[in-house]
Amino acid sequence: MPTTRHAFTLIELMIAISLSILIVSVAMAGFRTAAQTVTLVNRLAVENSLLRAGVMAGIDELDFWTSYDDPLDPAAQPLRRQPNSNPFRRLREGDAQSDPDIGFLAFGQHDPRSWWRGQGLFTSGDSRGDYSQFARTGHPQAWRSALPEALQRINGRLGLYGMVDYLPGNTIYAFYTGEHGATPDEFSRLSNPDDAATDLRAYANNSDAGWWSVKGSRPKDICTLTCVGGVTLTAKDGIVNTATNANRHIYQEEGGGVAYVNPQFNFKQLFNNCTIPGRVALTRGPAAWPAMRTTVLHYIHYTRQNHVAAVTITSPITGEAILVRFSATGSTLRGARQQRGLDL
Amino acid sequence: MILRRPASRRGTIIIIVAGICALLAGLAIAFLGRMRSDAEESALLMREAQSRVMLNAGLTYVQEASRLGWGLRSSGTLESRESFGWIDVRDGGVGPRDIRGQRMLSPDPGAAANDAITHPDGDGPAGSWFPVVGGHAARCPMYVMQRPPFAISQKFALNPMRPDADCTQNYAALIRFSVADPQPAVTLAGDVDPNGLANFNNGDQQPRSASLDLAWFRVYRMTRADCQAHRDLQGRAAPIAWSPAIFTITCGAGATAGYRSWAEVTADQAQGRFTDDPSFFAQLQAQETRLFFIAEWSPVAGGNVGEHYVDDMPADESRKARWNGDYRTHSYNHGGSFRWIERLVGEPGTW
Repeated sequence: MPTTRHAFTLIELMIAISLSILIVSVAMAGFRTAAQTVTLVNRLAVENSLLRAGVMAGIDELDFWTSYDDPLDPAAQPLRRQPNSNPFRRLREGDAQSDPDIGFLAFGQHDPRSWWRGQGLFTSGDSRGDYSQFARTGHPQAWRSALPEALQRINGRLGLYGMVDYLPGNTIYAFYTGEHGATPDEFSRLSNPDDAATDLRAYANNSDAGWWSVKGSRPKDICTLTCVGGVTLTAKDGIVNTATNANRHIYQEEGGGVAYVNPQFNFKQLFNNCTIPGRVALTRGPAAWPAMRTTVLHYIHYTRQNHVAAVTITSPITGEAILVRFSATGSTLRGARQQRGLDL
Repeated sequence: MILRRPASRRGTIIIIVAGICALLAGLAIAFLGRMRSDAEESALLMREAQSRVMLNAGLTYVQEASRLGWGLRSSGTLESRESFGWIDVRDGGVGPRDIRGQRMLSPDPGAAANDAITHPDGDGPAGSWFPVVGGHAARCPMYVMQRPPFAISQKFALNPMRPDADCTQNYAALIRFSVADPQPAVTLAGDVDPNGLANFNNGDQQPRSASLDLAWFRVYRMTRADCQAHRDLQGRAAPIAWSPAIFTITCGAGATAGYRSWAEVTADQAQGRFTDDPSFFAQLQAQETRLFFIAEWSPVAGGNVGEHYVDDMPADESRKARWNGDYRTHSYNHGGSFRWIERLVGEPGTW
């Protein structure tokens, strides 16, 4: 007579439990892996989203210059606080339109008043003639003083970066300031021509150290002016000597403004030292979310305007940092000023 | 009687398996959804980048068109000649003009109104076309050609030195350049292709299909009134100084081919391109990215020269054309440069 079974045997139970544990553990492992994958994908997706948002923000910064000068927030206009010249200073009526052909905004190349007149080969001594008779500030003939005074005025109003930005690419950055002047000054006599730490205009002083040198004596075009250094925009002390040369924004790296022996342009130093702090995104997000900062740097180096954006994403959990730098064609300083209605 | 419940046990396993499958499917769907979302967001960035490339294309177009691409109307035909810039460096006149100062014209068939330019600022009458100040914008849909004119092959051409060469000779004599380098992308002549030179010159200008309908730019030459109507970031009136060399460059990433509106499509009789369907055009318009820039061109070609002024400049330097940087006195840029570029925050009235 067969035995009626009302339950599992111990062996069946053990096998069933073992198989169940195996199945559940495999399922759990699979689920955990899948869940971790999804978490990781989500995290990477957030990082990618941040990266995309950062790139878009960087492009916007390059186009609209809001971290340098926020038109809606006077507290976020660091360059306007500089006492004398500054790149976001509003032009007066006379600055721009006193003469439509030679004012800040024109410099028509067909107009002889915009042509540079001077001794381009040498600057020391007056044995080669008195070139200040051809053009200088305060010259009794207005057309001979037009360009020197325009250079002087625009530099005084907007600073060096602003001047380079506004003037045509073939400008010679020198002019005579006095009658019988034999040396075309770089805007004015230097207080200390051998030490850029006290007078940043020393890059153009009268000590002849070769064409590549920042101390070369000849009148300079944009190439020789910026071939070993840069002209940038920054509000940092030490880069801008507000006491003597407000907003010159000369940056000489490697030499610290003192040693000029063939300094090489160091982009990293320039970026670290001069960039105006950028925008931080997701400031109200959870603490575990990655942090994103977008910074931009505008500088002129080796004849070219460079507009570079950097997007940094830092994970507060792993400490991992992602840095993406890119350059793009966008608004120039004058374009940014026009966006703020500062020209007319 | 034997009590058996095998069915319920099999059902349990099915339920567990189905649950796990559903879970995995859910995760997979979430993953795919995330990926799709990422792809869509990336597409936005791609369009932004594409339109930024169009800015460079538009600026380059303005530079090149300052000197090339126009002609003089002569006996009903258009003669192509070199022009002297958007602002003639000789007298400040509104260009493009030829060496005799004659106004040059667009080869565009719709540009007949160019002949009637009388305004001292160069503003053209209604209906005129680019390059007239205020004329209808130049519309440039972009694509990649199968093979552009004068295409050069990426292959290296080897010119090995002979083993018995006299090593006291200079480099050019040692190498001899018996094989041309670089080489054309097509065979110039011979048995393979008797029309090789013509093929090289003309290229194969058919578009590569994958590159169609991705991006375009338009160039409009601004009038004094346009500059007066300029607005700042907050939308307030902020006039800018006018010159005949200020251009609105509209950069697009999308498939509208640079048509501003359906009315423009209709005027150009290009409805077929959009299946004769205004709503389809509107849909393409809504999907694309459009950026608006203005920029001022300058005839200045300097700014990239190391040796404008050197102590030992030879007296006859101005007649030399050497590549040696020590004696190069002028930049090899004949297209001019840009005084400034400005991104507009919104769509301008005319573009």
